[in-house]
Formats: sequence, C-alpha cells, structure tokens
Amino acid sequence: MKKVIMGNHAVSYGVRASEVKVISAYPITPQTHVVELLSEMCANGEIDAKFIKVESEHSAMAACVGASAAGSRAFTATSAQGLLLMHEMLHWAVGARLPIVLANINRAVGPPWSIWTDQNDSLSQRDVGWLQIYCESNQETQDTVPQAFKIAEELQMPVMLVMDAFFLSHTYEIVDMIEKEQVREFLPPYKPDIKIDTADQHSFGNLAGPDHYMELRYMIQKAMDRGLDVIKRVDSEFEEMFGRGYGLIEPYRCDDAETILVTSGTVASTTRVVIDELRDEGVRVGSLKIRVFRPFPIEDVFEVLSKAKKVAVIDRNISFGAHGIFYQEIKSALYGRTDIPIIGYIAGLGGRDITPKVIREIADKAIGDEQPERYINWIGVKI
Amino acid sequence: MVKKIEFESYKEMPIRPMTLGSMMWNLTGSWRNVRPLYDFKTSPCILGCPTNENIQRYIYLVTEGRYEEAWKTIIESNPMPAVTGRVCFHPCMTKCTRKDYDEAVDINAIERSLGDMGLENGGWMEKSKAVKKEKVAVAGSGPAGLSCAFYLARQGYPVTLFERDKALGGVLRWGIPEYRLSNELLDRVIKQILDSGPVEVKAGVSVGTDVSMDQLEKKYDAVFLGLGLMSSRGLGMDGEDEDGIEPGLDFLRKVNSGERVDPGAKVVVVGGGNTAMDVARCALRAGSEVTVAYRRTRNEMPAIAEEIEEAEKEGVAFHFLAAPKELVRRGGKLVRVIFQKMELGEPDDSGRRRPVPVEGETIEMEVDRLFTAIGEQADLEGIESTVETDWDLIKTSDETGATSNPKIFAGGDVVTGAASVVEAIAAGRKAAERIGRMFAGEPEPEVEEPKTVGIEDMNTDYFTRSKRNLVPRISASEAKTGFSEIKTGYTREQLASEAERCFSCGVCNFCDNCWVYCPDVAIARHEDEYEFLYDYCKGCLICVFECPCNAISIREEGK
Amino acid sequence: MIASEILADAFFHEGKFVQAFPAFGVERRGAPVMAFTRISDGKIRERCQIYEPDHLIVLDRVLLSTVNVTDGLKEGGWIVINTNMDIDDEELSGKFRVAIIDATKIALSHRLGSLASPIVNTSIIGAFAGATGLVGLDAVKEAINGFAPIKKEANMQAAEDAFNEVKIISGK
Repeated sequence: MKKVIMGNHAVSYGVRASEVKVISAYPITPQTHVVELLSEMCANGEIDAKFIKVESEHSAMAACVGASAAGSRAFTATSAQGLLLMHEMLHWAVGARLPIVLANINRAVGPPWSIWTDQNDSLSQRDVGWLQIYCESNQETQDTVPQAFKIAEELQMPVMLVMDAFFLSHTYEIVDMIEKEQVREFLPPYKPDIKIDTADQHSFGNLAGPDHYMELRYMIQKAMDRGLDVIKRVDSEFEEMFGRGYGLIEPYRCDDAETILVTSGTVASTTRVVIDELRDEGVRVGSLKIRVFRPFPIEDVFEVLSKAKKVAVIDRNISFGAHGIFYQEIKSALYGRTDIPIIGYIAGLGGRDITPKVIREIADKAIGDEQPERYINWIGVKI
Repeated sequence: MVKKIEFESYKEMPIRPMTLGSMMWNLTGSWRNVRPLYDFKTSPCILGCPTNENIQRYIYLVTEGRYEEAWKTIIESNPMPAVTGRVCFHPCMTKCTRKDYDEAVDINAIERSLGDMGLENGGWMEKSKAVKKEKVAVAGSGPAGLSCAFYLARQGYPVTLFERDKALGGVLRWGIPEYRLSNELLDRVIKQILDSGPVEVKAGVSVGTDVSMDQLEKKYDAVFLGLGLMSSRGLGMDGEDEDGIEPGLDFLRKVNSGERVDPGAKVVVVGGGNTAMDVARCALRAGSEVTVAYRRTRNEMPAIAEEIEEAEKEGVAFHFLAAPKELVRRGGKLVRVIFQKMELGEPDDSGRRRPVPVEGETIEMEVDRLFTAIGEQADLEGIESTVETDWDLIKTSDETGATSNPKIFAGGDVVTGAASVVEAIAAGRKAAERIGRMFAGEPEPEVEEPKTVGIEDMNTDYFTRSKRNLVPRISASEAKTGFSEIKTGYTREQLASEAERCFSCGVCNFCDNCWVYCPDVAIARHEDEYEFLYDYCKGCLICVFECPCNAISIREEGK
Repeated sequence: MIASEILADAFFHEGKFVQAFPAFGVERRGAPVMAFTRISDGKIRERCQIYEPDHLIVLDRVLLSTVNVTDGLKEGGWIVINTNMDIDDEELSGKFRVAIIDATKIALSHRLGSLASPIVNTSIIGAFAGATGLVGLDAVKEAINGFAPIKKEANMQAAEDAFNEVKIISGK
C-alpha cells in the first residue's frame, strides 16, 4: 500500500516492520518524530517492543548495547550533538560486535546552533567501525531499515542509516509501505548464537591483553570487508521480494560520461535533474551516488569513475584542515590506479540549499576549463 | 582455581570479547570489605499504632491485590478494622514518613476498606475451638473486652463475656454516634468476633453487683476487666443536678438507642474532647443551635482534628477560653449560663497550657440545655476491694494489664481514663496474650527496642509527589440533617492508588531494584525474598543506595 | 504545513507524484510559516526547497500586506486567498489568477477551531480545488478523511462548501 508519509516516519515504519524488540532514544530535532511515533506504537501495541526512556544519547546507546548483547534486536535514532554524545558507546557496539541499527538524521553540529542538515555529525564517526548507509528518499529510508538489520545481524556489526534533515526528515513523499508479515520472511527473528544468558555463563567485554586485542580488531576489519558482498546480496534479496533495490553505489548516465559528479544523500537525487539538463544540451556528464560509505566500495567506485576524464565530488561536510570527506575517500580509492583529475566542492553546509542551480554551477565549473583550487572549492560562500 | 583462557587455534577465537566459559569460579566476593544484608526495620506507622498493626505489610498486600491476606494481617492485632477504620484517631498517620514528603498515606481509609471487605467475606475469619481447659471471664464488651475475648478464644481458651447492658459493644454502641459508626455495622462486627471462637455471652449482667468478683475468681482461672468509663464527670457547680443540665454521655446513650430527643433551641456543650464533639453534632441533628464552650483554645482540644473540622462545617459554634461559672434560672428553668473568661498560663503536667481566669471578665450565653462533656469516670462498685486502684481507675503494673491480683487483669479506659478505641483494643489483646503465657507457664518476653527509619533514610528519588486520595463523603449540609454515615469509603481504584503511595519504610516490597542494579548479578530472586550471593558480591553497595525503602543495611566484614 | 500535506495527498489520490514539506526551520504556532507541495506526473527528483512556485495559497489575508507572498510566483499562476473582504489589487489581478474564499467563516460554521484560531486548512484546499480545477473534490475529501484525526465529516463538508463558494476575481 502506498502512503504519503514524512521521512522520519518512514524510518519508524521500517522499524515497525523489522519487529524490533528494544528501542531506546533521547529526543533531538530533527530526529524526534522517529522515536515519537515509535513510542506511540510501543504504547498501543503496534510494536511488541520495550521502549526505554533515557536521560542522554550516551545512555540510549548503552541501553541498546545491553539489549543487543542480551539477544534483542535494538534500535535508536539521533542527530548531531546526540550522535557525538554517543561516541564512546558507538565504539562499544563495534568492539562488542553488536548488530544495533541507528538512524542518524544528518544535522549540522553546533556551535553555532543549527538544526539544518549537513554530514559532519555522521562522518566524524567514520572511524568507529559502524557501517554507514546514506539514503536519498523516504522509500529508500524505509526499505533500508530491515536491510540494515539483516546486514548487521549477519556481520555482527552495527549499522548506521543516514539521511538528511528536513530535505528528507520533514518531507512528505509517497512510500510503498512494507509490513512485518512480508518482512519476516526477509528478516527472520534475531537469534544470536552468543548472548548474555544466565544459563550459559560467560563474561563479556572483559580485558583482552596484547595477545588477543589485535586479533579482535582484525576480525572487525574482516567483517567490514565481507560487508560489501553481504550488503549487495541482502539488497538483491530485498529487490527480489519487494521490487526495489539500491546497491552499494548508484551510477547515473555514467557509461560514456566525460565528467562524473559524485554525490550522496538527497543531493544525489537533485543532481540527476541537472545531469538530464546537461545531457539535453549534449554535455557528456553523469553522476555517481555513494550509498554505502562504510565499508567503502572501492572497487565499485573505481569501476565507474576510472572510465571518466574528470571527477567532481560534492561534499556537504568538511574535515577541517584537509578537505571534504567524500573527496578524500574517492581520491584514496583511485590513488595509483588512474591519473584523472578529482576536484572537490564544499556546498550546502548547515542546511544551505543545494538546488539544481547550485549543482549546475558546480558542474559548469568542473566541466569548464576554469583551473580549480587544488584542495577546496567552496560553493556559494559570501565572504 | 584459576582457569586460563586457551584455544587450540586462533580460528576458535570468538568474535566477541568474551570468556569461553563461565566465570563462576572467580569468587569475587573475597574482594569485599563491607557486605550488604537484608535488614528489615519496623515502619514508623507500626510503632505509632497502639496495637502495632503490621501496616506496611497489609498495605503491601493491598498493592498486590491480596486482600484476604491483608485483612488477616490486621486481624493479628486488631479484631475490628471495620470499626477502627471509622473511628480511630490514627496516630499511625502522624508517624507516616510520607508526611515529611507530601501527605501521609491515608492508612485509616485503607484499614476501613479492608475491614469492610472482611465483613463481606465471612469465610476470611478463621474459626477457633475450645482446646484448652483454662476458662476466662471477660467483664465489659467494649473494645477492650471484645479484643481480649477474641484473642483468648483464638488461643483456644473458652471465654465468658459479661456485659451489663442488654446489647454488646459498650462505648462503641452508646458512645459513638451513628454517623461515625452505625449500630447495624457494629452488630455485624461483634457477631463476627463472637462466631469465630468459644465465647459465651452473658448480657444484662453487671460484674461486681449482679455477679460478684468472688464468684468469678472461683469459677474462672482468670478475669479480665474491660469496664470502661460509665458516667460523666460533674462540673462541681451549684445547681448542676437541677433541670436544664444533662451529662453528655446520657444524651448520647439516648440518641444511640434511637430514643427521640429534644434538647431545646439553644444548646451549650461544655468540653473539648471527642464526647463533646459527638454530643454537639447529635444535638445539631436534633435541630438545636449548638455552641461548644471550652476553657482552653482550639490547639489544646483533645478531640480528633477531623471531628472538630466536621462539626464546624456542619454549623457548630465554638467558644474558647470560657469556663462555666454560674447558672441562671428563671422560674426553675435554665435560661443563661455565665462563663468565666480564661487565658492560657504556664503549662501543666499534660504539657498543655493551664487555663487561668481573667479576673472580672465574664460572658453570658442564653441556653435551654447545657451538656457536660468534661470527662468520664469508672464505676468500680463491687470491684475496688479486689484490685488496687488509683483514684477511680484500676492500677496495672504494665501494658499487659496485670493488676495487684494475680488472677485479675484489666485494660482500656478503666485503666487509662478516657482514651481511644485502638488503645483499648491493644490493651485487650496484650492482656489476652499475657493470660495465655501465664496458663502455659511461659515467661514474659524481653522486648527489644525496634529499629525504625525516617524520611532521611529513604531514597526519595524513586518516589513522585502525589496527593492523598480523598475519602468520598456526603456534604456537611446533608450530613447535619441526619445520622447517615458521613464517610462513604474508598472505591477499589482509590484503595489501590492510596496503597501505592506507601513508602514501605524499612521493609522490602519486592521492587526488584537491588536485583536489577547489582552489577555482579550477585543477588538471587526467589519466590518471596531475595538472597545475596556472597561468593560474588563485591560489596559495591549499589543495592543499598538504590533500595527505595532502606531495607538493606551494611555490615563491615570481619566485625 | 497540514494544508500542504492534504494538498499533496489529494493529488496523490489522483495518481500524481507528490512531495510536501515546510519551509525548514523553527516553527511557532501563529507565526507566519510557509509550506510547499510539489506535484508531478513523473517521479520527483528535486529534493530542495521551492523558490519559483506555480501557484500560491494564502491562509490569512493579513499576510498580503506583511510578507511579499508573491515573491518568485510564476506569472499567470493561481493565488487562492482566505479573506472576508474583496481583494481590490490591480497589480495582483493583472499578473495572476486570483480567487478568494472566506475559509474562516466556513471553518467556524463547521466548528473547526475557535474564532481566535480557526482551522482553515480543509476549507482552503477545497477552495483551491474549486478555483483551479487542478484536483478533484473527491480526491480532496479522501485526503482529508485520511488526515483529520477528528471531525472528519465536518472537515470534508467544509472543503465541499469552499469548493462551491470560492469566488474567482481574475483569470480564467
């Protein structure tokens, strides 16, 4: 059944369909709708889950860690400062190998306070070991929730679902709703081999000396490596059942493109409008959406981009003192294997709109002969 | 025994940071230098109750919906909760820890609800049989006598209950107006008590006159005197035996026996105790305009505050710092009373400030009838020779009611002077227990000072402020027109909600906090208790601090 | 915001692709707010705000004099205004197609909201449908039925009244 629903609620309905057992969260704009609806669903019995109210996001993640360790499917949602407060517990979820799913609604980090979107909150959690999937539509958001649980549980790794504030979170779009009865077939109940169980006693999260620590880290990286295949397989299983698939990346009109714009989130969607416009003008241009950021799909990205003559990366984020973070990832993926120029653009920080006009400006600059700055090209900065 | 984690190859290494086997071998309890232990105290309410009802316990049982057990818990120390739930001055509530937080739990209302349930569910009362040979005579069927008879019968001793009136109940019947305690309800309470065990009733027989103490002492192995106070104390004024003046108790007796009374248009009641309030409110209901005159101020009034408030709401006027001085008659008929104006002086033995006359200042009041309610006295005719007395009261050596005569015990108002129903019940029960020990040849137990708690010992983080559930009652305007019961009692929802307000001071109420918070899973939860697993408890004491009730104490190891 | 959602939903019921969203920011009840609806025959890919709308709905006439409501509005587009008096603005009427409706009166006649804060969402959408003919009354009512938490019937009737009573001042 199709309905017009808000992006935040698309997450909630995805969680409902995934038959989550424990939800623990702390409210924060622009995420609040997600857990607000979930708490209602818990209260009226639509979801058979325990909703744990907590006093902070750190505790929310701690509660998910406990629940997941005890064998429950656990979910939380947050944004910006909330995600940053979780940071320590994000590490814990990875180290303890717990398949928690977190929805992060990308919100710019303060100060200055901002409630609008950019990706610095999630990208500054790049190295903690969470899988990260960036969504561009309400439909994709809803569908990604059960996918995320399936991936997480198979890899025994936590997964972060990421989406833009307002451009998705507060936007109503048509969503083909998934229901738990169908999803159950795709995502069976979580039954881990190992969990906290008083009948089978083990000590968890204990000390590991130099003899063991590195091996445990190695296994996390192995899980990430395996993750690329698992994500692909889970996605195609989902597509088989529901008719919708999203892939690791999504190239658009890239086959004969001389210039490719690399994007993520809602910008990927708007960019396609511009690509069509340019194509109509006879410009050979394409775009590549990066959906899965961790593990980073190096080979898939190389495969698409290596055929182009020029790559432009649009970053709604910045690693201060370096460059846009997607830009760094792309450069690293192509390093030593091709010498095509890669140009980075920073745009849309703190919720500044990335309209077709803005994307066109970036495309024109990238395609044109204008000599780009070596590291950072700021778009629309008024100073 | 220390087991090292070993695996054959790193391929077996679990992905999780975890031990391969149980860590139960690691007896971390040896790290402990202090130990927590379940150490239940006596809730302050229980200490406040003269008969030491296990209030915490029965309220906990109410929260669990275990009403029969709750009622039986009261019956252990009070055979008539339906009565005390209506008329008790509830000193338990004055001690309630919750009053230092928001408002005391309405223990009295909870007791009444349970008491009523006990009357509706006749099967709850266990029956006792005469299995012992010693016989006891109980004189007086007021709260003391009924209580003593009940607890003796429960121990298996056959009891003969003497009452000088035709109907049983004593002060409960003739001293308490219908709007507080109806005779119909009292009949049911008494029947339940009498039916529960080997009690034979001899009504209309006055001990000391109709049957002598000698006869009783010969026929019975012990005698309990719960005679109460039978007559009003006089004012000690000229002309007080003439027309227009009546002892308040006599008036109450008439009203309570259903006699039609007409006290006249203007009534003055002299006194400040519960009898004065009862007389005033009954006169009001008979259509009189009523003024209570009291020689001290409202603060010193011995009546239950609630009774004073209700009387005031119904329209009883109060005149404080006034003592009757002179009665003025015209044609033999009382028309006016002249009162001496008083002021408060130094405190007397009771700790209350003594009223002293303000020289030359008087007040006059028109009056058709003046009721005296300044105290009652015992009637010890035929008795005073067998036991030692103190003024007109029987002297006892301790609270178990032992008198100078080893076979004779006493309790209630006849020992204490005008006191309360619950104190009489307590005296009756304690005497019954004492008599039982005497027959069994058991020594008197040593009483330890009970440990209790206060608000500062509770973890109030676990409580939220809430208002007391108000007992539904009929309006004052409706109340004063008749004798219908004023308080109509809690609904089941109110009962549950009020019971939830109990802090369970010093006693575990199975909230699971200790069990949940223990970071070492060193607490086991059993059917009806928790247990510390000292092999693993590291003595972090989180349980102690997270216990809302202060039911866990700390002891240093090695001491 | 609710009006933009109902409008989107109505078009959705007629098989269109839709999107609805508020002007992103901090909302406060009673303060002027903007919300947008995108409607398309095909899949909507633009995920950004709208700067040049085709049509405009004004929920309170007062906004005409306090905010530049027609900023970016495409010439020839519809403006549907909630007002209890005639709009006599030649510039407006010259550039745009203007329709008016006393949605407040209709809402209150169906006991929707209070005089101080009438709920005009459903009436104004009915008026938009009536004036522009871009979306049918049935679809509007179906959308209202799905959205309104209470007083579904009253809201649907209000939309129908507005649909019938809307007055076209210029254009068409």
